[in-house]
Amino acid sequence: MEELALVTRSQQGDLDAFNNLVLAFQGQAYNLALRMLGDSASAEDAAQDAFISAYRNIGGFRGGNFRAWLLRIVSNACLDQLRASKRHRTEPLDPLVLDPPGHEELPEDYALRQELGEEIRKGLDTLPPDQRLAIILVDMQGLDYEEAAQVTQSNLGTVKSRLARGRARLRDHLRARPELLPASIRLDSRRSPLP
Amino acid sequence: MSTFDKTGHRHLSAERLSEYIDGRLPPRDREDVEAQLSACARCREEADSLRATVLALRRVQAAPAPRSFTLRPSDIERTAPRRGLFSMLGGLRLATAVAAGLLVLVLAGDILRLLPSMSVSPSVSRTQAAPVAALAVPAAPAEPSEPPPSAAPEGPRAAAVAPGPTPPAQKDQAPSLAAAPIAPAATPTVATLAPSATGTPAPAPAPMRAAAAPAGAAPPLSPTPAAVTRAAPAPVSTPTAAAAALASPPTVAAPVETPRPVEKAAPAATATPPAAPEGVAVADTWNTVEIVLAVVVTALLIATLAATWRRRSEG
Repeated sequence: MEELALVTRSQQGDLDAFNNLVLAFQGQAYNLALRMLGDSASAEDAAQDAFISAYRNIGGFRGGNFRAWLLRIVSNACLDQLRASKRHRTEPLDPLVLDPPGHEELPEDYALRQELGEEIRKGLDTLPPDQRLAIILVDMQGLDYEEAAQVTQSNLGTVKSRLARGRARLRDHLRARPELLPASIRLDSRRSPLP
Repeated sequence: MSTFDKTGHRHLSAERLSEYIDGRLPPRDREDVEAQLSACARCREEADSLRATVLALRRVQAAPAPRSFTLRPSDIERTAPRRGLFSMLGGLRLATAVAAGLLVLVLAGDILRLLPSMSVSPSVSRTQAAPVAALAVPAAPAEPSEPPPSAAPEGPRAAAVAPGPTPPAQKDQAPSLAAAPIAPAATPTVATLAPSATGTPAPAPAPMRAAAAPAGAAPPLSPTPAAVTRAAPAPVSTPTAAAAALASPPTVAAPVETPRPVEKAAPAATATPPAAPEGVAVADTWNTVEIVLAVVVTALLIATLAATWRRRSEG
């Protein structure tokens, strides 16, 4: 069913319609929470809280981009949890894995890809939450600047600057292992649309 | 949008390069950046490393959701009453704050009402006897909103409070004498309301105590004459009040001191109407409001704390 119709029916209290929306977005919501919080247990809690909150507040959704509205609730749930826990991490971080290249991968490149994922995970954990959120939304989940601005309730300039500072900090973190960044270039054999 | 190094060379900022990598620059800006990249090795290295970082981030695999997050009706119901408690708690907090603010306002208004008479009170001992003596004023006349304009009416009024034993000739002593019994009347009431206030004989709380006194005498707090006499030594032990009391002739002070507490406690304990009933009624208007507010604030505070604890134990 069309998203708009599901939203309308959810606003009338139709839980089945809302659950269709949950199914459509739960992967993205969970992954946003997982990368914001670092561990699957916290991410599960945040995603669950966010969906309950979304169901309750869907009456306040006044049209527009439903995904951005939902992800905003998820990111707020994550930020709340980060504030509450004060970074006292009790759960181990979940692994972060990079997609393999589209071609045959040499054993040493496989090892570097694992290590690159590990260092990205550690580097993300050191970023301020607002920069981490911008990177997750734009670089990992593929939102454009405008939608990321809707999710974070900020303007385009803020999104650009958070994204640029987060990327630069993460790059500095990865530079500590000089072979990691070239490995990233080699991974991308399919000639991505980047200039 | 660019940075300069120590030698004054222009370099592209991370934000500009970040936008360039995302293809978000307008054609003209893109050409500028590309010209700079071909001219500056440092900018090139900067752009390459940022691009490698972005490429890696784009390859991060999405983790499979560990379970379905679809909501069951019980998920909504289970959490609904908690939300009700939250909003109830919010309302309680607001009500408590408003009631406490009102109480402060009323107390402040009462004190302000009494202040002018304090400043012009006769030269008794000008420290503590003065405010206490001033507090005798509202008990006397039937002019609640009007503060005494000058020192002139002060004397007669204070004298009117203690009509029987105090001869009008002793005008200069009258305030302190009238003051003496009011203070002891105040102490037992405060003892029931807020025990912590009793032990502080500082000048500041003195008007508050006295102001609360007749109000406390009204409803269930029961300041029986016995309680008044028992508490009587407390204010006397405060040095200045004692000095003021002793400064006046003890023979005159003694008869005034005994009937007054009884008169004060009368409306509550015994039903004997004393000398100045309208004066007491006027003071009671303020004091009733104060005592009612105090009770309301206390009740709200208890309710708020109870709700907070309940919420904490639940969640």
